[in-house]
Amino acid sequence: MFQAFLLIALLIFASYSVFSDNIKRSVIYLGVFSLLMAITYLHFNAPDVALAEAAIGVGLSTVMYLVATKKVSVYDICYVNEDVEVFDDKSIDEIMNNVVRPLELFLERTEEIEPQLAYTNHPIEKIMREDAHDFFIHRKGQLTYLYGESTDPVFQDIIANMDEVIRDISDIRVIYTDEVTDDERDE
Amino acid sequence: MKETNKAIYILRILFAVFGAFVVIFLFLNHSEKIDTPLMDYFTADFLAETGAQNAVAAIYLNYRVFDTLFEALMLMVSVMEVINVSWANKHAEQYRFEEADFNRKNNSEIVIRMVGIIYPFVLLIGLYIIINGHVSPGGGFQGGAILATALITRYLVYPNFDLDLDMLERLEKFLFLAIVTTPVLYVFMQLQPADTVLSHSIYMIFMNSLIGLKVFSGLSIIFYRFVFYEGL
Amino acid sequence: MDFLTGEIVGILLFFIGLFGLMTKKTIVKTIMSMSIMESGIFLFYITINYTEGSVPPIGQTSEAAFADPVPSALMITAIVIGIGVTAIGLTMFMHYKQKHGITHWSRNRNQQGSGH
Repeated sequence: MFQAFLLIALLIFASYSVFSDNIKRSVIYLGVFSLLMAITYLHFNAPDVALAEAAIGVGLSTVMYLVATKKVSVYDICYVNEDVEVFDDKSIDEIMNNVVRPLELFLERTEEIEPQLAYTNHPIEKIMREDAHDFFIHRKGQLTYLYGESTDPVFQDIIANMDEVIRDISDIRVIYTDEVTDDERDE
Repeated sequence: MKETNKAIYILRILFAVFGAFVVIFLFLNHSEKIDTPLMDYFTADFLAETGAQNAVAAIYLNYRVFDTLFEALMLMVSVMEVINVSWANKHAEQYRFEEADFNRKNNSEIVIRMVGIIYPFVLLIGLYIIINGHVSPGGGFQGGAILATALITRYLVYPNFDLDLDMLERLEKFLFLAIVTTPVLYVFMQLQPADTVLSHSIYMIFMNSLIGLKVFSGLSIIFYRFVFYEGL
Repeated sequence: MDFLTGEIVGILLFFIGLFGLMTKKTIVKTIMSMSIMESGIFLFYITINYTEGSVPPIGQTSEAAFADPVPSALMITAIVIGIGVTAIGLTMFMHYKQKHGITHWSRNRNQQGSGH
């Protein structure tokens, strides 16, 4: 019984860490998989191998993967809303379900890129001048502006699949920052 | 374009499932039950022959000591590969020895205090596993890996690059030489002071300590190269 | 339930890793799939001569049969070599990332993301 439980859990965690879309999550699943593997070795009467797997698989290689995943390309999204006084959890929750989650899921599934979000209420011109984000979402009253570069293929993909990604908001304007003239387009 | 991608994806799924079924079918129906003469020979009287109470340590330190030699060689080759492939070689001067400065990078208070409590125990269990490798589960590889994780916990509290990696590399090569010469003299050429269990046990403890230190220095070179040279 | 033995799970883990190796576009995911394949092989070896009710091969007790120590001794060395292979793979990945900006296998995804 215990053996069946261990073996099924091994299969489940191996599948999770292979099929998961997020790299950091699958590193953690791989650590759990190694720990279960150590318990399985102990169950099959190999305590020496269990010790080696527990020290190397769980400790060393997890930390090495975490150091290496710092290098994987991150897509840097900045959400700007100048009307909000202080950005707290409530104002993030408002946009969580209709903008943030679908965008993250789209980036993880189709592009296999890690999204990383930042929220701010500073003026948009200052942020665009000082910080190098890949993608800006600017909320101004009822209007939603998206800023990005026209040479960025990920940004092109997001614009092309806009109907699937963001469903609830209909009034969206897309601005290419490298074609700064009034090249706005209603969606 | 999308259609062909989907077809290739389904083809890959089919290939993996089909391969798994073929291998499991062959394994279940056409595998022979073979006798285990090696196991009978190794577990018959390993205490009197090798001085180890742990049959696994008896195998990898006495009966099949060639495996251990080439495993140590493989680990050293991988350390060399990690050092020489790295892109940071061209501008390695800027990653030199840093002066000790504890307050340069401040970490969480909880992590610092807890790691301070845990750190000596991790070192202790690593040394215990190395030295008792021949009478209980454990040995040089496992104890060396645990010592290397102790170094990782040290990195968590004190992320400054004040470790002399050149010294560790030289130590590792010297230890590899010692690991090669000791079994050649003791096991192959039979230059033993006495053919007793006590003498064999001393050989086991010596070899386990050598292997443990070598694995420790190799893995910590790999880890520190990783964190400080690559992880910028 | 007797279908679910260690050998069969080892073979299945090998093919799960092979599938990840074939389909995933991220290089780190490929290295992780390789280590899952390795784990499957280790499990297969450890359980190939497993009999119910044996004891670990330590000490000189003769009440029960010993478990097989040969695969354990082989797999310890294999695990240490496996961490070496993983370290080399991750080092080469970081080298390519620094030099060419590649983090994915497909060609049109080069030079993406911000520069950190």
